[in-house]
Amino acid sequence: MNKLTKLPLLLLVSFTVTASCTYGLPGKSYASPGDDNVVISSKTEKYEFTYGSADNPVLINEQLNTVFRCDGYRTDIPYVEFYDDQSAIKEVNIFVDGKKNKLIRPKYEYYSIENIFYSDARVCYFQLPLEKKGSQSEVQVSKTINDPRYFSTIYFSESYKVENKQVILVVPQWMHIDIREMNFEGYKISRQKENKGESVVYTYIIQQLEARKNEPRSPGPSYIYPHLLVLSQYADVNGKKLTYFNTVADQYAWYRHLVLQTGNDAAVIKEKAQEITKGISSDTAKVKAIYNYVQDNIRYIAFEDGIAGFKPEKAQEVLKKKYGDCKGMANLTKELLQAAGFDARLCWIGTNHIAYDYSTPSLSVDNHMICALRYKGKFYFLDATETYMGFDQYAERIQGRQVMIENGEKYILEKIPVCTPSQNIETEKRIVRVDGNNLVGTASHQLRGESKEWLLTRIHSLKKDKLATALQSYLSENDHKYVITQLETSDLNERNNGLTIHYQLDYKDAVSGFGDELYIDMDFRKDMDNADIRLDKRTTDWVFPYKQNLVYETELVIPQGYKISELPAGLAIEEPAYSFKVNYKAAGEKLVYRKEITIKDTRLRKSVFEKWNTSISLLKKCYNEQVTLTKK
Amino acid sequence: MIYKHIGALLILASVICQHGIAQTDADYKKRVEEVRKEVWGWNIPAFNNRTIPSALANEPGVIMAKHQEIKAISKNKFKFLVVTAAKYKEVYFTNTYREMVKVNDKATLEEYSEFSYQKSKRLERFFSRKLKGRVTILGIRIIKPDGTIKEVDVDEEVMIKDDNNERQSKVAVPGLEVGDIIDYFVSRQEEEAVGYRTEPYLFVFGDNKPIMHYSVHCEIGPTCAVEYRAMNGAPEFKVKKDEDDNILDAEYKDIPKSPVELWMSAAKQLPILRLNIRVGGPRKIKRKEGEVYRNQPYQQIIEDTKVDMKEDFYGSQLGLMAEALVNEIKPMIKSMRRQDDLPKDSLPYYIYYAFRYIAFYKVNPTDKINVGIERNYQAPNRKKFLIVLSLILDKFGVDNKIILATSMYGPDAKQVMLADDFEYIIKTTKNNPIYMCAEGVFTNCNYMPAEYEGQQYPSVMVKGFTKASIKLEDDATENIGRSAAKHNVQSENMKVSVSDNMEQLQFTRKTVLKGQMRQGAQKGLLLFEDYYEEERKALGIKESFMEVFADSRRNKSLADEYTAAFAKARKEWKDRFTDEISDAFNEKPKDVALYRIDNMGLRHTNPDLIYSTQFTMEGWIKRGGNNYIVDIGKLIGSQLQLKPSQIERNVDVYMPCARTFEYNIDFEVPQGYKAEGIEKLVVNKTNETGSFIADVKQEGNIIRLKVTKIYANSFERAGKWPRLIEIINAANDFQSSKILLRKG
Repeated sequence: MNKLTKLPLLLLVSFTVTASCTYGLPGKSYASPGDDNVVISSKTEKYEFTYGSADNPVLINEQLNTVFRCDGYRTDIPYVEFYDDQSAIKEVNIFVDGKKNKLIRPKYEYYSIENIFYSDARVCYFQLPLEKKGSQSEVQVSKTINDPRYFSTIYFSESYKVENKQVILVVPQWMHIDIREMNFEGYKISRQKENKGESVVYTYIIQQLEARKNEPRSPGPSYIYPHLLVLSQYADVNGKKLTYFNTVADQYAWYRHLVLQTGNDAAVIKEKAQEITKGISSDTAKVKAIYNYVQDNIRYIAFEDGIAGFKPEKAQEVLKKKYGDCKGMANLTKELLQAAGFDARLCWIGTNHIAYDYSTPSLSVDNHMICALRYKGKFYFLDATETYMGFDQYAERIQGRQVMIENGEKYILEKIPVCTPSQNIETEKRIVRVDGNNLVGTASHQLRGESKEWLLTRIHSLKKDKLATALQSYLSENDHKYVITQLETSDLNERNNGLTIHYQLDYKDAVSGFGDELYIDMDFRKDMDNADIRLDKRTTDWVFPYKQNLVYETELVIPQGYKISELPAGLAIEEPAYSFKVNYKAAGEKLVYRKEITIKDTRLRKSVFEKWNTSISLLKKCYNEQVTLTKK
Repeated sequence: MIYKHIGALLILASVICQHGIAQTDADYKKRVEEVRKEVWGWNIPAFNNRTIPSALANEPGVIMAKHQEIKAISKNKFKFLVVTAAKYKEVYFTNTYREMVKVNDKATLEEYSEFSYQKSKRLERFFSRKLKGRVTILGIRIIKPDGTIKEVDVDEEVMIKDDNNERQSKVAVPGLEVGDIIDYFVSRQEEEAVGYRTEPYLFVFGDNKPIMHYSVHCEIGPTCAVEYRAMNGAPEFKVKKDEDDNILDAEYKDIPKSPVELWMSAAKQLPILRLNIRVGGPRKIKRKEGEVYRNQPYQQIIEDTKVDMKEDFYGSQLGLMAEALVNEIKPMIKSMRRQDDLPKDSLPYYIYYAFRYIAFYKVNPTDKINVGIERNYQAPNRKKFLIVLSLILDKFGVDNKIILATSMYGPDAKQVMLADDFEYIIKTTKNNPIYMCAEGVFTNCNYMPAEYEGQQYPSVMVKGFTKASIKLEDDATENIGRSAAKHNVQSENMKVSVSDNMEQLQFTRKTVLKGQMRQGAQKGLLLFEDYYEEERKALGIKESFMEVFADSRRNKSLADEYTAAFAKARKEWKDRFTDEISDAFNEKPKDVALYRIDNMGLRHTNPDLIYSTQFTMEGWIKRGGNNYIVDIGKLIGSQLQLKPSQIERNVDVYMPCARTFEYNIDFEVPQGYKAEGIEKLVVNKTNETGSFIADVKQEGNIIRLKVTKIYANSFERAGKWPRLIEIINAANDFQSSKILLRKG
């Protein structure tokens, strides 16, 4: 009997191959993060500062003990622990249902991150079984962080719901840190500070913490999840004071000592700068030429590589290789501008993904480098990783962000200008007449700022034989009845002016004739018609990629023998974060439809979701209104 | 990025290896230098060319030269094992692929801007002392428009895997600009022991870029046999002897870009050279050492297939497995007969479904709990599955044979080169024949996958087997016909009304999927809990595993766990229907009020998948004054829209199957309104490739719309493409149809 019951299993296992399935591996059941089948019944994270070696005088020993419990049905879960050049996993112990399991062998690999060419991030991972309902499995991980600078944040949330979590920091008296409690509001987190021997022990306890949820277009985690910022200030080691980031000046000094090691070759750069600016006399034209050169000729490739993650590649190397990361591109831009006689500096900045600014001296504050140009007493900022942004135009991700500008031994803190939605204006003007069932005429588009950047980045990623087709598909929204001919565009590589597009339009079957009436949909671009937010599912604010300002206008020539019998009412919604305006205006033999959608604040807060949905509902209703023309 | 190129090459070159060694750095560097010197020095004039014809000037990228060189040299060696010594054969393989591409735009530049490759791989065997391995060498040069050549230092790399067994690295190509020519090669070198099986090489004379010159050169040692096949107008190899080696060369020039992607069968439409090198191996398919076999008759491949079958039989102990399964199925049949007298002619069906149940449905206490959608996508090793099934049928006295079929997307049955080109189909040979396939969880008995339709196939018959031996004999050829469009049907039956606020359309929809249209939706929509239960009952199995577990002291808690897992799967079920509706109508429904499976289609006796949905759609009814315009054309769902590049076509059309789409729509005109414009909905576009017919009539306040779209054939000659476009366009035109609901 035993043999028989085992055979079918053998049959299936030996026969089963991976099917072309996007849902996971057949034959296996893995609980996914966020799954309520599994909870973390308890987790203890203990961080202890200790003396290290001459190279790394202060270490942080990290002990992570996580107990998972299966509440529904037995399963395997992926366990993942990250480390990198600045940290190491020393030991992993796995307990399944109370028994130590030596058969599960963790794998240690480089971690590949999408859109990053190389990162020093590595991952230790394995499948952790939860043997039956109610059973617990525990993972104990011992890690070491080699440099207190890299020990900057401790997040409380996990991929699974946490019932009980303790975060313990053991700080000897010789180590000086500042702990900042972030996003604690709304969470019950108890804290305790006690002296134990020669150390101060900080203990944080949190209970019943919901799992992290990956939602598209969410604010960065530092805005939404409770966490601690650990600021390592200085240490007294063997009578010697080791300063880490006691102040922002310390952080700047550390950055600066790295960039001073870059080793740019002034002669090579000067020659290139002269070549780029040859025949150009005006200063702004020279700046634009240099900025555009880097945007156009240097491919952005992201490197995140330990200490090299803070040190730019030599400018001449970036010039030679024709690729670089943000630091390499910023450094090259700066060097070329300096070689052309301008006052240009490197800048460190945290994009809007990060909640902090330089009031917090920490490596968590910034994640990007750009170049600043000081010209006639004013700072301009150049970010060549934005391939199609013009000079003095700024991407949403850096707008309003505090920026640390190189200034010799000191630094300057400035803010990137905040732009209005009009920087990114996208206009469309159509002049059409009725031709049978069709609308025919001309259309003109203008795109500026980030709307232009968005479109040009996409169409340049296509092969040039497909570019015209792709542009037509974009303009027609893949509607084969929206026939575009005589398509003309301004220079698709131009950065400092808007992108203009003109074409002839034959929109087939856009006019519905019934009896003596013609019904015409004046707007076939139903922008935002699917933008309502699921209130029952969405847990975080919604972040738009950039401030939008869409202005669409259609001018319809009323056909002879017809008059307007009914004009829709239009719409006017004005909110602090956005506005929707739709209006119809009859003027002689013409009817002008105008729609303007403006996203004024890219962060749509949860508190306004209901209002937003109401607005979207009204907008949709407006889209469902047609103009009626009747025979005179 | 270039990953795909290297990936393709590695597939071509890959071999299943048993032992090897990671080279020392010094060895590796020495070898790199030698290989670079050799490859850059190849005397192939196409690589000296620096210009492209003006006709190709606007292409985003042009492959100016492409050359692949395969070398397989073997020699005998002695190896000292633990207790003995043996004469052993080692084979040295090199596969070098060089390509020179003119980069004419940023997208092509991006494609070639990064290389990622496995630099070395340790391939070891437990008894090896001096281990050899697999090494890949990369070379990249950039040729500037002024003719200067810059060699890229590929040692400026980043390692993405670096351990004792394997090294993988990535190189970002420095200095590459639009207007340059990139000239690169990837050379994979392996040292193998005999006792492995090579993967065949595939030289495809087509790419998404034009190819100006493509050549292949092979040097095969005298201890290897070579077989090859030239397909679809590919150039033949020129074969000559150089001492004892066989030298094969092929060349093809001025290859245009590959044609449109829609409804293609590349294996039948692109010029392809296939080549296979045999050095003996565990598969006992023998070829004579030193011989070159050109376009072998398919009878030889049938013989090879029989050898394969026998190896599977012995290697996986399929005879033993079949006997055990017979012992499991027997009591099931006995129990079934007690409940419901199973007719004799139903036996093959019962056996098939019992076997499918054991393979895919049955749950054992030791199984991982897997009741989600992923379970629906399980697929068996088809060949072993069907051999075992054939043996089981045989044991039950059901005579059967195995048809050797080839996919529509592979070579024709008479163009096969390898046993792997064949798939198996079982056919019972007495009374009305019954076909059995092994597609997956929902494959019904007597179902023929569309990809095997429309060809004549050889067949073999099992002439007896024991636990340890099997006898196979050739049998008559079999003709598998094509299923007609009327058998492969998607039928949508809808009642559509307007919401009270006149802003949404409300749908009550019943979908019926027949024939080839069924299995995809079954995988997406069926719940294991439901189909398990239905099949269990159909097979006459008295207790469900849930009942068995609940009654067992040891497994009692498992029943609770399965209950929880079922509940979770059912909770996610609505999303699957929402996705289905979104796909069908190319629009997300506002809400889904009802979703239900009416018939799972698990059996040949009741094969249709039938499901019901209720949902609302916004934006399909628009106000014009007091009246409303309804986008009634959208009710037939999304229709295929051709891209501009697909309009012109000079290659034949391979569709999945002939098929019919039916839409029976009852649209309720709201009270107080009259419908206008329904007469404009009538369409009749019919030709030899199919039809699009829309008929309409109004009965009271119901507009009855019947729309039928038929693709009459699965295969059309290129010349018929304009006729097929007429049908496609008629469906698209209908989609923009509107009616008016006039007040009063």
